[in-house]
Amino acid sequence: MERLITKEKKYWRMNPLTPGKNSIDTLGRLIAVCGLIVMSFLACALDSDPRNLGDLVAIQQRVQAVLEVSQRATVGLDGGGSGVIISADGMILTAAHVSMDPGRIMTVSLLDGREVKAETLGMNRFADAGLAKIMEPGDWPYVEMAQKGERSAGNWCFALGHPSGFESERGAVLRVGRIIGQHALVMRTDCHLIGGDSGGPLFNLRGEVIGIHSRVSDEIDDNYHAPIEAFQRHWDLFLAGEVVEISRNPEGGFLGVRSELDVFGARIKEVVAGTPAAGSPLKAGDVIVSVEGVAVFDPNELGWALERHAPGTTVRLAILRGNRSQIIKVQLGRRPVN
Amino acid sequence: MRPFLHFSVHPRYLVCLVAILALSAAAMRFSGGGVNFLPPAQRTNGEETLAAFSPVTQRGQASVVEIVEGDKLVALGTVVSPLGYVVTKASEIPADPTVKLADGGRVKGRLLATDSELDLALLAVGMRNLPPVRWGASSSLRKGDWVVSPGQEGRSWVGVVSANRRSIKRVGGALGVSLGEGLPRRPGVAILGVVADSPADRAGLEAGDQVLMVDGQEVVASQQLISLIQEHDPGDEVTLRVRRGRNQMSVRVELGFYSIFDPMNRNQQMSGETSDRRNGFPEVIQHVIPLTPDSMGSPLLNLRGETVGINIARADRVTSYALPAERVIMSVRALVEKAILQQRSKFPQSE
Repeated sequence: MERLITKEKKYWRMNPLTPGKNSIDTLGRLIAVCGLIVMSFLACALDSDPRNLGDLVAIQQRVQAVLEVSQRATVGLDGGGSGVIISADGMILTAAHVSMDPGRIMTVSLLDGREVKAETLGMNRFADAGLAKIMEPGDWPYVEMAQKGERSAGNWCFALGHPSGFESERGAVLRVGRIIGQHALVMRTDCHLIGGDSGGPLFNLRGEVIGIHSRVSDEIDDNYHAPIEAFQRHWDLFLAGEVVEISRNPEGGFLGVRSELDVFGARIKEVVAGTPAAGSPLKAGDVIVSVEGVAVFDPNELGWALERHAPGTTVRLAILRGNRSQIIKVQLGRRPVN
Repeated sequence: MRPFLHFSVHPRYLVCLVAILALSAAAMRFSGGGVNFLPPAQRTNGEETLAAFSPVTQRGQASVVEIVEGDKLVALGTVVSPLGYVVTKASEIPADPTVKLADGGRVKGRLLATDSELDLALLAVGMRNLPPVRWGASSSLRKGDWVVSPGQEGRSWVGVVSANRRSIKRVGGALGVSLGEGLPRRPGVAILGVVADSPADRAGLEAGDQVLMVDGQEVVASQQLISLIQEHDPGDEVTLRVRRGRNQMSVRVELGFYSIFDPMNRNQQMSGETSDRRNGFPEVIQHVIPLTPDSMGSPLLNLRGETVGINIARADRVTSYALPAERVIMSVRALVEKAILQQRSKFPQSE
């Protein structure tokens, strides 16, 4: 049942500052949950373990049905990286370690032979998610992003990219595999990746982008991708060219909690005595979902989101306590010297 | 479970609720109990997934033999004729290969002929009731098609066709040195470094040596030296005229594969074992089956159990190459003819 709860809460998470779930009546909720379960049942049935050649052919046909479109949108970046166009006006998802910094100009290679320039926008260095935009106007080939990422291990997926660099004669290189595992900041598949794939897209069998290739280990089934949520939850910041990063601003606002990664946000492990958090209603076990509307998933993102506000600022935190969501206002302090 | 806790269940919804629970139980079963981790057995090359391929894997396995050198597997071979002809990867096998049959028996394979362009060797193992592969047209293969490679000891591996069919450029032989530029108006190219255990190292070349000539031809630029070397294939010998300090000497070097530079290539470093000969093919089917270099020579099957290619190189972590069936068939015919002609020349028949 874990995944069903996940979906329900995820829906709510999309609008962290407008909890309003009580406005949905029981019947509506029942229909919604019923629909959700039926949908996830169907999704599971389609993505379940193949039992015979017919099941394998079905997977193959679904990949091939969307392959042509997916390939056209899979671009090479600066010769050594990959990316995927997700809008007609040329918005490109890639890895943060490919786009590197906002405001940089990259060369985009398309499989139809065109070469154009793109400007890098914002990124999340911790999740390895980055955004860029083609500078020329045009009607670019693109694919859709998934509304939500894939949360189920075992789901089939496919990867495209330009391993070891863009080669138009070879084309984008296809990998078909399964999701091995996923949490909020990273997903793992057995779609084997190598240098040059970085920034390339991972698709579900509907041909929607569910992740962006990030890194591997020597173990062949260790292939990691930034989940699509990493882009969606900071989309506006990315558009504004902001960088979500681990490095801290010691002059920024300070709350005073120790937290850990949670499926829904940053879970408070400890409220430190004598800090702004201690004087607020925050308690250990609360999950901080967003800071002033900026979604946070883990301690690094929480720290970054808080430090964007000056000490003395009152910020609104969306939290989850047990099953209840609420907004808590806290006046941030100054980080103690130690 | 949260949504359910807030319901005051009306009898009217009870039936619906039961249906939901049944459905979600089924959904959980399909999704592996909701555990967010896929065990190795259920991954693309895990045993449970492979079971779905079993009609194909069983079909291919009987036509595969192992080529061993002592106890070491060096390649696989594919039976292509009821007369006991086997094709395998030429650059991986010894001159007097031992062939391990599917039933575990060992026989001496006779090397009949080789096709250096495709890197194929034709072996004769005698008539032993080995079933030849059933060929299929590789031209019908599309990117994204499942393909299967029967491996060692009954284990098969699967993947998909992953890239456009194309030729892979020839790279040529390598010395295993890094080069600087020559001095202006003076012949010679400086060796800056020598890769350990490379052909250059084994021939005694050292950092600081100046290469003056390759096979009697003067060299003045590093790119010119590289071109002269790459005109040759691995295994060819070249003679270098070298100046070391005040002395000059001639050094014979047997060229190696370009793969001696793999330790300096990050992508090759994350690729595990790869084939030394992995370029210079007129046409390949690229696929993602994670094969090892010692399983080259095995058949590549489509889901109909037809052999659409012969695996010829593991290039890197994401790249395996197979020669298209049509090319292999033509090569085998040519090799059989070549072998027959060689036999005739050994035992000339009187007119």
